[in-house]
Amino acid sequence: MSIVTLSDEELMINLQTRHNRASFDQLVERFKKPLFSYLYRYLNRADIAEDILQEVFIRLWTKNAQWSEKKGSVKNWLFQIGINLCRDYWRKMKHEVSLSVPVETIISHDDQAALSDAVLAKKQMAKKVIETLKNLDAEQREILILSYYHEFSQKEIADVLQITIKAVERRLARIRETLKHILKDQGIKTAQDGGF
Amino acid sequence: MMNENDKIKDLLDAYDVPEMSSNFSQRLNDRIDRLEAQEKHVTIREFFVTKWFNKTRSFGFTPTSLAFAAIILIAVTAFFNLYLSYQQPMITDNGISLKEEQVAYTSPLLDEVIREGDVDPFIEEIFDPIIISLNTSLEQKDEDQEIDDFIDEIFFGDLENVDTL
Repeated sequence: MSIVTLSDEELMINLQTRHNRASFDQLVERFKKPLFSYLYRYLNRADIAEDILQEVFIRLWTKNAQWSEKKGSVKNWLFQIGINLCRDYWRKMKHEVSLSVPVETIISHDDQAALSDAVLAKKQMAKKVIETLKNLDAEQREILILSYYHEFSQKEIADVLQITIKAVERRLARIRETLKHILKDQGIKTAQDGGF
Repeated sequence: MMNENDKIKDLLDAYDVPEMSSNFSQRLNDRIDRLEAQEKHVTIREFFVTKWFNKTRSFGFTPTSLAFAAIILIAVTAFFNLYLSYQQPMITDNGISLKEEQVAYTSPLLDEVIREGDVDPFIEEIFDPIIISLNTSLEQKDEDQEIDDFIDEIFFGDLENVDTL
């Protein structure tokens, strides 16, 4: 049976029992993009997101014995490691990291001249969204990114963040309200409203 | 018409994620190789208890379940020990509660006296001989005292006059 056709859990068992490098590589291939996009949106720093992502995979290689089917899916387990590492990083660098810093990397002055109006408008919007995310606390940001960008179900979010489904529901409702207010205050309109 | 959620999602979609560095996989592989090399270099000899635990774990026994089993075994053993060491006290004819290691220092005659409530045989056979024996020893003591006084008189003179000397 080809390794590509195996489920995440089968690959993980292969990795646990046989220390199989091919299974590890396959898991890395499957999860590096979703994990990177989560970490990047959470930290808004590509370099740090890559460093933390590497650490997630190192733990997958060295501590895979800690995973069991009782702990949920491999995807949830990896996201849980990523979120914990992000939280650790956030705690250590609380006063040094600013979400607004890398916004400049999105729209440099040189780029602005070369970009078309539509692309520039979208980039400007991205900047505003980052500013919006900055106004959310870490926990709200975690839930928002998992829910909107990664389409995690409420149960999956509850598993990853180790909170109840009710708590996820409550927090999502609060995030929606917060976002609506922030977006309204910042005067952001959607494409349908003529904003893009 | 878009609902609020779609609007928010639409806005959030504007936040693109950049491409990962092209050498990410290479860096990760290098690090894994280094870890592997280190692991081979440091070979840890497993302690036999660890080996045993790992073996039992493969049968579905976790250290926690083994600890629980040990506690239950100790509790059951302790209970049986206590149960076996406990014995009903033996009640003698005169109502004295005794255990196996205790010896009843009673005489059959005393048991009978208590049982019958008749003290005459007790007085005749036990009490009287004791009284006689005590009297004899008191008399003996009186005789001894007389001899002592006589000796004192010989050596020290009349004791009544000692103080006047």
